[in-house]
Amino acid sequence: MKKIIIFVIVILAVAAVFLFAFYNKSGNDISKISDRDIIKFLQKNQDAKDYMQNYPDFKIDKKTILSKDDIIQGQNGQNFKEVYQELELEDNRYVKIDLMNLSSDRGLIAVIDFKTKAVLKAYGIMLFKANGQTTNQTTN
Amino acid sequence: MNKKISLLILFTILVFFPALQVSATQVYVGVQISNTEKPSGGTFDLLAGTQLSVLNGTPPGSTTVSGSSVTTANDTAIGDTIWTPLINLTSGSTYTARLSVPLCFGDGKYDSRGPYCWFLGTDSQSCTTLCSDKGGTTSSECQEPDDSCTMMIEFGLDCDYCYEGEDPYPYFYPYGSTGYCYYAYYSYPGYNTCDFGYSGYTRICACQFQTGTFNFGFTANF
Repeated sequence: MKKIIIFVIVILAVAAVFLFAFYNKSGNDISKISDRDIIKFLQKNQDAKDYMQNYPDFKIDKKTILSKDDIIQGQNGQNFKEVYQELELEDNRYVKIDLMNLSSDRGLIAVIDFKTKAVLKAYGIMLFKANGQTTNQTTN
Repeated sequence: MNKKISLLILFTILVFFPALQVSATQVYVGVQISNTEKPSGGTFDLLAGTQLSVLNGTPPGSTTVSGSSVTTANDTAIGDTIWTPLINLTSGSTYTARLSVPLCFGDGKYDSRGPYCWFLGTDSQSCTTLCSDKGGTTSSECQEPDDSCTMMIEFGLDCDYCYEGEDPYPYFYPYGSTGYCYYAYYSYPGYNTCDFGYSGYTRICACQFQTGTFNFGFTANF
């Protein structure tokens, strides 16, 4: 039985080394995170993966390395508060990604934690364009 | 011992595979104001107080999706987007994004003091009739002042003489080739009511603010 335990521990150690190497492929410098790395990270999240499959014409609209001030501002902002909630107040730890499809009506907002290499948030975006004349449809 | 090994493997899974924390149904719905056009021409910003909400299904009879309503604190210009808070939608279901915009229909003039929509009547027309014709209702007592005849001038009335009295009751009286603009009149009983109209006199009236509703039907797909 001891042999089995030793075997499992060895396997775990090898797996740990492998995963560490895999996760650190893009290095520890968040500013050097590439679009390819971002896509790789997002593939690990089912919702982001679904979005990228359903809208293969998507592009990375915006990539923002969050500062402590960005997080505080986001948490107190009028829109997208949930994106910033529960994030630790740390500089250069999180990357906020905005994806948008070609017709600019379906998107995704995601937050990647560069420290844990995890996709923390992935929320859908549905955008409509209001383009019409005023009409007397209802009144107070 | 097998139990210990199972626990060890479970622990390994928990450590190396972080839990997913999101749901595909969590979305932000946005309406971008790409153009605004008055029937009388020109564009306008959506005033503060514009409300965006998402309804289940198609109106009438549809209910509002929980937590989806948002009211703007500032004016929204062309190109800006109004966003709902994060809401849960069911993929494949139909919804309606509803934009309720405070505005003045037709040639109404916006007055932030009420806010009101001012309209110019025709000869002898009462405010009750005028506001009704414009798709609205009168302000409470139809005695809102038109300070310094500002609104009358906005309506293009030729105010050769602007009379500022004590009782708020704005009207226009064409006198010969010139026009007398008043926002006061004698305190005769009945002259300053919503129902008052008199031949030769044209009133301008502050009607209640109006709401234009714009619906965008959509199927939730992600």
